[in-house]
Amino acid sequence: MSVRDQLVRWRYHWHNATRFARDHPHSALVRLSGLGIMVFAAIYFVLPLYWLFSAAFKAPRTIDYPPSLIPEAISFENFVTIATETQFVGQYMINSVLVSTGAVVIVLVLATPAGYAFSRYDIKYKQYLMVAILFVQMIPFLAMIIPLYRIFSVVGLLDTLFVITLLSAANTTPVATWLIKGYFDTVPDGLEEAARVGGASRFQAFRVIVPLAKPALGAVALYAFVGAWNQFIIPLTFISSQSKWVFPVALYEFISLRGVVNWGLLGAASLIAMLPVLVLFVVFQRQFVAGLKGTEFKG
Amino acid sequence: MSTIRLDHVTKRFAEVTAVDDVHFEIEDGELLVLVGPSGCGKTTLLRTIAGLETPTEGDVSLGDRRVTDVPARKRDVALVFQSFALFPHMTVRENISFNLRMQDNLAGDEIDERVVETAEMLDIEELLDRAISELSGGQKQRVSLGRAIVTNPAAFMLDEPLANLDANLRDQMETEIVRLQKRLDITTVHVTHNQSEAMTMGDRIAVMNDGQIQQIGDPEEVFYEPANRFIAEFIGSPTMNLLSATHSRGTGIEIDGADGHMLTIPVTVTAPRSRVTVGCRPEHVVVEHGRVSGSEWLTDEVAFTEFHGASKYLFLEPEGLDQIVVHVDSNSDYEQGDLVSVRFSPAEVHVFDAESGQRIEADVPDDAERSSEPVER
Repeated sequence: MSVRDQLVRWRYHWHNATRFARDHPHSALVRLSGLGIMVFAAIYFVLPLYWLFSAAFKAPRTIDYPPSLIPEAISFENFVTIATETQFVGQYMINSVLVSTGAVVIVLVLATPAGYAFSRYDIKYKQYLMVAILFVQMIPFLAMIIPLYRIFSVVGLLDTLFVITLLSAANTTPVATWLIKGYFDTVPDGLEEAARVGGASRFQAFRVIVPLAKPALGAVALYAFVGAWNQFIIPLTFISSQSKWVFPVALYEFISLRGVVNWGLLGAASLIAMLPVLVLFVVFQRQFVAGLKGTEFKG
Repeated sequence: MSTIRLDHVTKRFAEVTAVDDVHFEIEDGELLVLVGPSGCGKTTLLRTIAGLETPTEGDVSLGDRRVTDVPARKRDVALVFQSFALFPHMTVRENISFNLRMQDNLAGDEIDERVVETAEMLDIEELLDRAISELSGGQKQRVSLGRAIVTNPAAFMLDEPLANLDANLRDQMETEIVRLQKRLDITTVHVTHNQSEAMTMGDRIAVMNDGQIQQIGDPEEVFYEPANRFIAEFIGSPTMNLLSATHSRGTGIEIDGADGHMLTIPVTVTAPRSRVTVGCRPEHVVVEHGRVSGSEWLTDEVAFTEFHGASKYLFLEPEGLDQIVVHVDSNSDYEQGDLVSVRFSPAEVHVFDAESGQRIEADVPDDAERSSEPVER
């Protein structure tokens, strides 16, 4: 699109907006304040991140307070330090990926059949069960830490990556079940009925239908992955050996152990920790939204 | 191939009785059309036969086998859905072969062969490798038919398969389904709410309302001898003229005319009822220009006309009476505003009990001519 076209387009939108404001001043005001809130929220979230990342690209020991927003020279020294002197790009990353992938697998294996069953079967007290599942998630996690610690110490799972995977999956499964149930609700019953009349058992019919829920499964997988990736309290409490650290715990070290916060290193490390999730979101954003919305099927 | 027997089948959902004591048999190789208004229970009945619903009471048998508790997949019944219900993530070939692939005992070659054979029969062999989303409505319907017939099922259930198609395509598919059914000689139940589709396609028609079968018979029987007022109104287009009337043994049936005088139909009924509903199809209303004297004639202005190609309908709205529709040839010179006289042909008048709506057999005077003979019951 040429610059001219772009200008024409802007002019059109501007005219459209002013005409709308003239004709419906009330709704225009509502929209404008909505827009204002969103801009404010964006600045609120983006600014600290931007500051942290700009710190990452500054040469070490050049960050002052108040911070300068635009770095004078781009330097990758912080990243080199992180990569060479810490386990960030090595063990921690492997741990984080293992934990998150494991959580995704567990959540999908549990929530897919559960969501399907809630969507398709006439279960007694279905509504209560559905709400009960959500209630589980409403219990503050901190209240369960000590009992969980006792349980895992008895079972002998303390200081293993599996604990983080398990707890994170347990944390995500309720919402995942709801999401998948909601998505299956938008898939017409006729498809399984066609499969069943055609000779498929209930389970085979389920297997035929599952690929249709891909957008929802994708959204749930992303949600579970990010949920596990960001776990902080769980690994901090249940993990003691440094070789089993995951990213958030490792990031915490930049603040606590060295006394002074090394903003440059923290920024660089945060960026590395965020990158995989950021990439996933950018790549799968459309599918993520589609999975949350549900679809209209035309069979 | 087999007969389908429904033995006092009742299906209740919580408070609602969807199918109420349905009891009849569908013969081997027959095409039975289940017709009725929306929500009359016809689809539920079909799903009960297919095994997607279990009857609350009664039994379903296929051939000699009682299948009431047999799951759908073991019944050897194929079902075509109104929504087509094709698997959107599979190709046409995968869709058609689905039912075959669900049977464990078939080799890949044989499946391929039968899919191609079926596709040729439905004239869709060039679509086999397409995705479902690339097909038009009619093509989807063919694929859906193909998926159903490929296994050579014992019975074939069609749940309003033409409802999602446009009018021209529907006519074409009607013919095609009948031809396919005759060629395969397969016992078929076709559900529709479209009475003209029912009459075109069915070997027999079962009219349903409120979960009950109102009448089963061949199309002519249902058309010419509707068992009750509901069927009289439901079957035929435009609908039958229905007027409330009084009956006395002496004079026959009298309808209170507009200008005070009675419109008489010289027909007596066997049972001595006084209040009746009298029905006459638009095709059987006799019409003349101008005013014709005689107690059998009703004179009124044509309120408006409707042109339907080969035929034309005159709408009369006599004072104090319901609308009367008259069928005439489209080249006849009746126009809106013309003064016409009409008379109900006594031989083709239907009499119903005013309260129960049940048909009452009429004694037609011997001299009354009949334009079409009812078919033997």
